[in-house]
This record gives sequence, C-alpha cells and structure tokens, in this order.
Amino acid sequence: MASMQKKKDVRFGQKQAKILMDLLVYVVLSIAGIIFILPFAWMVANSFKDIRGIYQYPPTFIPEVWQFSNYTEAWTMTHFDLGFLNSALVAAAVVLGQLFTASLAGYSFARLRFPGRDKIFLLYISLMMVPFTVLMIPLYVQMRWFGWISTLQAVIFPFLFTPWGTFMMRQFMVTIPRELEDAARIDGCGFFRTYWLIILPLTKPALATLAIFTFVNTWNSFQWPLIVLGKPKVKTLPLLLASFQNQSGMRTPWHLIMAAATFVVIPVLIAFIVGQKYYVRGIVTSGIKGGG
Amino acid sequence: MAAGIAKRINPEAPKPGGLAEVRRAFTGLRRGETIAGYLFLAPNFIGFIIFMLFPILFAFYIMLTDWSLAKEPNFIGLKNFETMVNDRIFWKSLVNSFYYTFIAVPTGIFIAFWLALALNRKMRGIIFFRTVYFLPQITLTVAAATVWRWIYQPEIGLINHILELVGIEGPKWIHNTKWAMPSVIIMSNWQGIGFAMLILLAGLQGIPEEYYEAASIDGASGWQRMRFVTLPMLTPALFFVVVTSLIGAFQAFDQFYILTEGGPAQATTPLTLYIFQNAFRFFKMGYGAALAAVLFLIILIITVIQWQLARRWVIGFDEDE
Amino acid sequence: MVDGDSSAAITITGWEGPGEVDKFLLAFDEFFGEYYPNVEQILNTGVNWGDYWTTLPAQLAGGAEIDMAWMHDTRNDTFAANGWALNLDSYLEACPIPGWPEKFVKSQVDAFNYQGSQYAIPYDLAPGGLYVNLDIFEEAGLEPPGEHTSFEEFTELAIALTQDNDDDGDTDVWGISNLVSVGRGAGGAYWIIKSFGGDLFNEENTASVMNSAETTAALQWMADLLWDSGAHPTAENIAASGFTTEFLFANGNVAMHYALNDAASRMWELVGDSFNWTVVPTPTGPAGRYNFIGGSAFSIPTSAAHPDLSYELIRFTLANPDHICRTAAMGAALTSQSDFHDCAAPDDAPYADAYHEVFSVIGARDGVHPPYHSKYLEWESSVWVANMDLLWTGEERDAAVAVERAHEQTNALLGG
Repeated sequence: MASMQKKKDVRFGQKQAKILMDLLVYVVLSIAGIIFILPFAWMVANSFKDIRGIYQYPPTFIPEVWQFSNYTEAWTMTHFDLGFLNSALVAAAVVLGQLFTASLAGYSFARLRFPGRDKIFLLYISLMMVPFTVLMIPLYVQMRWFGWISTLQAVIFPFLFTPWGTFMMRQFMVTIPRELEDAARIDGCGFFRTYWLIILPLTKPALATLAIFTFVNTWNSFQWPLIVLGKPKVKTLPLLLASFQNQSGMRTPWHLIMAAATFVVIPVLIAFIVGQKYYVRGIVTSGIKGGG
Repeated sequence: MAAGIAKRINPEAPKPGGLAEVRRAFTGLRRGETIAGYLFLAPNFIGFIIFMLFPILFAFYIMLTDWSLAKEPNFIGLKNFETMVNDRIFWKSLVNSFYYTFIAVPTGIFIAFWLALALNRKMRGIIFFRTVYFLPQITLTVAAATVWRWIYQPEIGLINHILELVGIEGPKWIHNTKWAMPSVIIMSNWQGIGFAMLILLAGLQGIPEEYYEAASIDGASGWQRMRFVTLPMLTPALFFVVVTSLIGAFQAFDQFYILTEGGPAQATTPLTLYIFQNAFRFFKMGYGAALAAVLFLIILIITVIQWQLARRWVIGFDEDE
Repeated sequence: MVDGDSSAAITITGWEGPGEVDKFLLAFDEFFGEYYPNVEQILNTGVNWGDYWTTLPAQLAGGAEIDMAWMHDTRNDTFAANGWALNLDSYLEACPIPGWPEKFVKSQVDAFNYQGSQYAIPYDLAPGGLYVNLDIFEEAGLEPPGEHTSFEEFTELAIALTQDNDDDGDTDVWGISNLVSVGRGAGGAYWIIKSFGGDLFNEENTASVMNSAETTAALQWMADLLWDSGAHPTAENIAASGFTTEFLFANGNVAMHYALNDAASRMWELVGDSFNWTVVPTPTGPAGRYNFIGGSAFSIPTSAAHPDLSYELIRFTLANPDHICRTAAMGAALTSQSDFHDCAAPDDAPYADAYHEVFSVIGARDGVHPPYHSKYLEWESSVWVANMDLLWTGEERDAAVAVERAHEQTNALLGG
C-alpha cells in the first residue's frame, strides 16, 4: 500500500515533465523528419507533373500543371495488374514461410538445449556473410535443374529460410522470462505447444518486425527476380517499374515512373501501418503473477 | 540490479559440459529436448541443403579457378589470392569497405537507438512519425538519389546552405574524392536507420512492464530505470542490430551504386562493388569469387570476435549448451 | 529450320523498353503472324541498360536458352571471344540479308566483326553532334560552329557564349555541355583524342600509347573547359539543375549541347517552340576530323534453341524497306543501312536538313569507334575512370599527371 502511494506521487510529479518532454520530442522528430519525408514527397509530387514540369529549371516542388492522367497511363503501359498479383503472391508466401521457419529455429536456438547448438547457430548465420553476387549463377543453374526458370517458385522457395530472421527471433526469445515457459511445461505442454501457445504470442513485436522487413525486402527485390523471371507474365513490380527506363535517360518517361512507383509503394505503406498494431507491450505481467 | 534481471530470465544457468554432457543429452530426461531442438531446426536445415549448399560449394570451387563465366573453368589453385596482393584496386576497395563500415555502423546505431527511444513514447501521432522514418526504405531509389544529389549540391544544396548560415563553407560532398564517402555514409544511414530503429523499437516493446513497475517500486529514477532495466533488457536486440549492421555494411552495394556509382575515381568503391565488377563487368568470376571469400572471412572474424565479447554485455549469453 | 506450323517458343531479350522497343516488335509480330503463327514470342525486353549487362551474362553462364539478344558495339568482342555469340558468317552466306554488306554503314559492320567473322547484325548507328540554341547565338552576334571549326575556335565560342546575365556570380548560360562528366567512360573522349592526333592503345591493344603529347593535349582541353574557362557545367552545376544536361539545354541554359543523333526527336518535344535550334558537326582537330559513333545490333547467343528462326527474324526485320524506314522514323534513329537515312528526320522537323548533313553524311563518314577490346571494360573502370575523374572533379588540374599514371596502369593491365 505504501509503495502504491509512493508510485502515485512519482507519477504526479512526472506529469508536467512528460508534457514538456513530449513537446521536445515532437519538435526534434518533426525537424529531423523533413529530410526523411522529402525524397518521398518529391517522388509523389513529380508523379503529378507533366514531363516538362519534371525537367523544369530551376526545379519547382509543387506541379505547375497537375497531370493526373500519369497514373492511368502508367497503369496501362505494362501489365501492372499481373505484377501486383505476382508480387503479392511472392511476398505473402515468403513472409509466412520466414515467420514460421525463423520463429521455430529461433526458439530452438534461444531456449532448447542440445549438443552443438551455438556452433550450429554461428555456422547458420555465417550464411549471411556470403555475397549473393557469387551465388547467383549456381542458384540459376539449380533453378534450371528444377525446371523453375520463369516461375514464381524460383523467387519464393530459396527465400523461405532466413538466417537473419532466425537470428532476430532468437534474440527476442531470450528475453522472455523462463517462468512462463516452465509453467506451461508443468501444465504438460510439449515443446511445440509451448512454442505455439506461449512463445509466439509473446514475440508479436518481433514477428511484426520480421514480417515488415521481409515484406519490404521481397516487395523491392530486384536483382534475382530480374535474372530468373524472364517471361512477362511472371514479372514482379520492381521489374515492371525498371522496364520504363531506356538506355538514354532522356527518353525515359520519369513522370510515369514516379506515378507507378507511388502506386507500387502503397501496399508496403499499408503493411507497415498494420504491422504497427502489433507493436504493443507484451502481456507478460498478467501471465506471471496470475492477475496480480 | 542488472544481474538480478538476467537471473530472472535464466534462473538456472547450466554449466558447460563435456562429452558426458553430450551423452546425457541423448538419453533420459533431456532426450526429448534434444530431439525437439533438432526438429525445430529441420525446416531451415532442409531449406539450406536444397537451395544453398550447391551454390556455396560452387562458389568455393570457383575461387580456385580462372572462370570467365563462359568456357570451362581452369583450376589454378591459390593464384587468385596471389593476384590480390598486387591489386591496387582490391586494397583501395578494402580500405573503403572498412572506412564505410566503421563509421556508418556506430553512427547509425547511435541515432537509431535515440530515435527508437523517442518513438517508443506513448504520444499522439507516433505511428505517423514511425512511418516517416521508415519512408526512405520505400522511396524509389532514383527519387532518393536525385534529391540527395540536390541536398549535397555545393552551392545551392541544402546542407551547405545550412552550414553557410552558421558561417561554415561546406565541402563539395559527392563531387570530391575526400567527401564522397562521408556523403554515401550519411545517405545510407538516412536510408537504413528505419530498420535499425524498428528492431530496437520491437526490443523496447518486448520489455515486460513488470520490470519497470518493480523498478519504480524500488524508487528508481528515470535514468536508473534506463540504466538497469531498459539497457540490459535491450542488449539482445542491440547485439542483433550491431552484428547484422556490420554484416550488412560490409555487404552494402546499392547505396554506392545509386549515389556515386563508386566514384569519383573509385573513392566510394567498396569490396562488394569490386566483386560485382569483376564478376559481371570484367568477366573474371574466379577472381570475384576469391574476393568474395576474403570478404566472407573478414566478416566471419569480426562476428566471432563480437560473439566472444557478447558474453560480457549481452543477456542470454551466459547460458551454455 | 522450324516448320511453318510448328509450335516452338522463341526467347528474345533486349534493353530497350516501352516506347523504344515498339518499332521492332511491330516487325516481329508481322513476321510471326505471317510465317510462324504458332510460334510463341517470349519477350524479355525493357531490361534496362546497366542491368541488361549483368542479367544476360548471368543467364548465359547459367545455361539459359536465349534465341536472340540485343548487342552493343562496346560488348561485341567480349561476347564473341567468350563464345556466347554465334558466328553468323555461314548464315550470311547461305541466306544473305539484301544489301549486305555494301549498303550497310561500314563502321557498323566492322564494329560487330571479331577476328574476321560477323557476330551480330547492326541495326543502327549513333554519331555524336552538337545541338545549338540559335537564339543564344543570335543574341551574342555569333555564328554557330561548322565542320571546319577548330578546337581553339570552338573554345573561344564557348567562352563568348557563357553568360552571367544577372551578375550574381552564377553562370546562367553555359557555352557547351555534356562533353565531360565524372564517371564517364573513355568513349566520349576518344574522338577528341583522335582529333588531336593521339590514341589510347597500340595497334594490337597490348600496350598504352596514352602518354603522348597529343593525348595529353586533348584531355587538357577537356579539363580546361570545366576549370579554366568555366564554359562547361561541372558535375555540381548539373546537380543544381536537378536532372541531366539535356534539360539544361531544353530550358535554354546551354548554347551548345553535345549529344548523339537519337536525342533529336526528344529534344524537339522538350524544346517545343521556346527557341530556335539546330544541329551542327563537332569541331575538327589538328589531326583531322573525327566524331564519336556507336551502335547496336541483333545477335544470336550460342545457347539458342532456334538459331535458324532467329536469323530469319533478324533478316526479315532488316530486309523490308517499310520496316527499316519505320524503325528510323520512330525515335530519330539512323539505320545501319544508309539508303534509309532520310526516314530518320520528318520533313516538318525544324532540324531535318541539318540532321541529315550532320549525322548521316559527316557523322557516318568521320565516325570512329573506341577500341573496345576484350579488356576494355576493365581498363575503362579501373584505369580510365580512376584517373580521369580527378580531372573532371578539378582535384587534378594537370592532364599530364593523370595521363602518366593512367599510362603506367594501362601497361600493367594489358601486359599482365
């Protein structure tokens, strides 16, 4: 009781401090934020200009002529409908796959005890250190053996496994209090049930982070899909976007590229904002104390 | 207090064991855990065997050959590594890689850390700000590069304009061999900070409220809570960010390609770009693979060193197999 | 040969994207529609320039079956030497393309010839010239340069045209743009070096001859335009404008802009009625007149599943007069066949007459291809750019110093 009283006092004293601090944080975040938002805003602004507006000198930020038709023109210029479908399919498969494999292995590396665990772990994450440049051609050869050239399998399956994500899940899982797990084990849960019912719900922020990461990286993925996806029907969005460029930069319809880049980015923005919903503090407290 | 919290997370810290320990792992009570441990790794392991094993073995073989991408590769032993010794550009790009990594990573993590703390506050519109700092990740690279070239412009550019206000004559940034690398570092931190921030933010969100409450009950001040709860509990995420940022920085490629294309005069050509050029521009894949092996080894050594150091500062590391 | 009614698939890859590749696709569609209705075209076009030269080698090294690929003069020798491009001699003999080779521009035929054999069929040529803003010349009371203008006279012109209208210390109109740039390869400088009487390599491409007084003088001339006379915008000047220098010209901020012929139609669109402009030849040097020339071609990879069909397709595309003329008209391109050069510039284009004279007469006559040997790309990146960039950033003002260093490094590379 006494401690409760003390806590209240502290909180009351902190109230003005918090408001002041919030204000300071707002100001700093807003000023620094300008430079983070500027190139994005420039991209969106240019997506409404006509081609002359883009090249205008000295450049202006706000379009002088608003050309909304850029969006419809860009959309019909190539198979963006198919591109969205392909990209969505690939991103969904890779995100779900990575969430599953990474959290499973992360749990094993973080919590379970078995011989050679940390050595296997180091070996596994050392895969991140091999530059992809030297793996591209042999992987392409392998995709040919599988008959997967110009199929979406080629950009999904090799990327369902992630040392990076596994490492991340491990790091988050080691911070979960062991009491929780032990309680579940005493209740007769097997390792998989413990992982599924206890560990996964507690690592929501980490899972959301991994999902956002994987989604963005897969959505933007360029070099490998470019090499392995030759047929127009299977091309993903970044490939379609890049195909607007011509050898001479002057002949490139930048206003259409900016428009296309803007609509291509919308799903990522949505994914990011939705992902934020899972950035809530874990429900650990109630779990440990049984409602206390 | 930190030790107390660490202990709470891992109440029993088992002692490392020898062969007897291994034997015990496969029998009796621990048998189930051992099997589960391996089974949980199985999806990753199978994926690795199917999709990565061949490419990696292939790369390791290729580095011992003179493969040009066309024609049959000839086995030439370690000759590629001998060539490196006198390869001026190899040394230059190696220095560039170290320069970039050891400036970009510490500054990036430092900023991301404070950013994450700021964005962890319960405030109105916080999701908006989080999104803003994440935007560089999804901005079309051409747009980003164009705007940054304008920001770096020596006479009318944003940075030098601001410097001029405080009476400093700014450098020529990307148009000069000395300032090109700092320019790339700034831009690449701008681009990458959102990710580091996000991970640290997830780490902060993962810290059980209970620990803060316990600390408050014990009368801890804001600073003490930071020192004894936030920091230690964040160390696993921080460790992850440090290790992966270092790996990522040594592998960085796009940043250089977009803003400076490795120039002027190779001032911003890192080892990764040189590997790429050898493989796909000069058609010296064998040599490129040998360079890649050197890069791999450097990253591996740095990671192993961090691993050893981690036992001193990261929670969850005192636990052995 | 593939039967008329067989149902194969033919894979075609190229760097040109929507808007640029269409003129060829029209011909391809006609060919397949008429002769091989059941053959499916798998078009992997629009792989943009830089990525194309990563993707194509990666695919070929990985064993991909590609039937037809866009080829460039910079890469022809490397692809031929690597065994990636099919030797087309037997095809040209058995089933010649009409007018081959006498009706084709010789420099383009030679550009895709490696050790006496043809490895690709050129479809265009791209000579360099000067786009001039006639209004700026008129205001300054000066005449645009011509075929016989010397480099000294050209420099004087460029300086005289450079203006700071509002006296704020910033240049508002540059005399000349796009001749020099950081990161730019040696191709854009080679014709200047040749005009001054210098060269880069010996005949066999086994040693450097860069350290001659002539080569040094040519490079010094280029550097001085940037840092001595200030008549040429530097990289930071260009950055200030937002995009590339074409748009500085289109906005009336440049009196003379160096570009290839295929910029003409786009320039017409961009400039509109805002000022009068035309094209003129680049200057003549002490050693004679040379200008840059480049070009693209169609090649058949050795991994092609249907090389015969690809050859037929190439032949069809380059044989039908209507197609060739249409190809030239779309995008102001000069076709590799000189008979169709008039198609490139529409009669109503303000530059039509000048275009013909500057590019298809003088440009094709004096065009010189840089020596794209099989170590050229490595040399360009690790020697040329590494040393010449210092001249273009102004960190090194003496061309002789840069040249001497490049000379030694070139010998080390070509000799080793």
